[in-house]
Amino acid sequence: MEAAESIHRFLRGLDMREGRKRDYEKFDIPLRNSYKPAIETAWIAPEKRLHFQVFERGLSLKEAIEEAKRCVTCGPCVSCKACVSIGFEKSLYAVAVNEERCSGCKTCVFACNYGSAHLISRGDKLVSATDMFKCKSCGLCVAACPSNARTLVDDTTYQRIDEVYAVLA
Amino acid sequence: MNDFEPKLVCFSCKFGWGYLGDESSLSSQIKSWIPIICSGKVDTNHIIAAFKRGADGVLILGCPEGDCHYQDGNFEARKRVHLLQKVLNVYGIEPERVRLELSIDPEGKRIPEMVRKMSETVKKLGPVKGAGEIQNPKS
Repeated sequence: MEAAESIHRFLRGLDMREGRKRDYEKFDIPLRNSYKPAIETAWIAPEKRLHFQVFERGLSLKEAIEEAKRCVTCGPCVSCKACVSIGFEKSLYAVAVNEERCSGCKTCVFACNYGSAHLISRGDKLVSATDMFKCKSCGLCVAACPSNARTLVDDTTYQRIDEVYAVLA
Repeated sequence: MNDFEPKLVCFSCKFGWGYLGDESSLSSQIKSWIPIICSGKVDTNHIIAAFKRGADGVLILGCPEGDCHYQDGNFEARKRVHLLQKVLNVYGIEPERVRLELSIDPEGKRIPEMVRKMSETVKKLGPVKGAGEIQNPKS
């Protein structure tokens, strides 16, 4: 459907983006310096392939383990949600910003590793906002915010902390 | 002083500690255990609030350096703990009472051991002195 719509719009010379939502966004290579490209598999040359055996050498055990550990930079969290399906997290928490409290100090922008937190102008002041396509709901910006303006919607971690602290006294 | 039983709060990163273990059996072994999504999510306010509410020590377990699922959450935690230790020292809370351990243990068997070690350290220090003076506007 989407593709047909795109073709239609392209042929008519219409705006491709008008009234449509992004489903997927490409990600940059991770900042981490340990990023490695995929291992090259050795293949048998075509002229020597005159048999019905597998022509790929495949990976050795060591290589396979390395490959499994490799970060493949899948898409954004909103299109994966594997953490939710294995019960790791209850949902992908949205970040709410209290615009009254936000002073536009940009601390969250530096704390965010995914370029999700950014500043937008609201009236005469700058307030922070979150791009949920890039957000991984890690909560680093929430902890970093000096004016407590950011909260994770439905996140129970802080309630749990309070419960544990209540037992202490 | 011998009958002093220190109250510890243990934060542990879900990605590095005890994700293969059974959470309910682990929490029965560890008192005041809080699994958290990333060690970088532990705010200084939470650590200060713990001392304010009567904890004697805070142990934070994070992933090994460079292995954070969120890229640098454990570095954030380390930075935060390092600075907080200096601040707490001024208020009469020894820096040894806040400890950050960056390592990995998927089955979580080492967590009770780490807590025990930490409580031995805290036992030697005794109860917190002068914690009531900390004013925390945010908590």
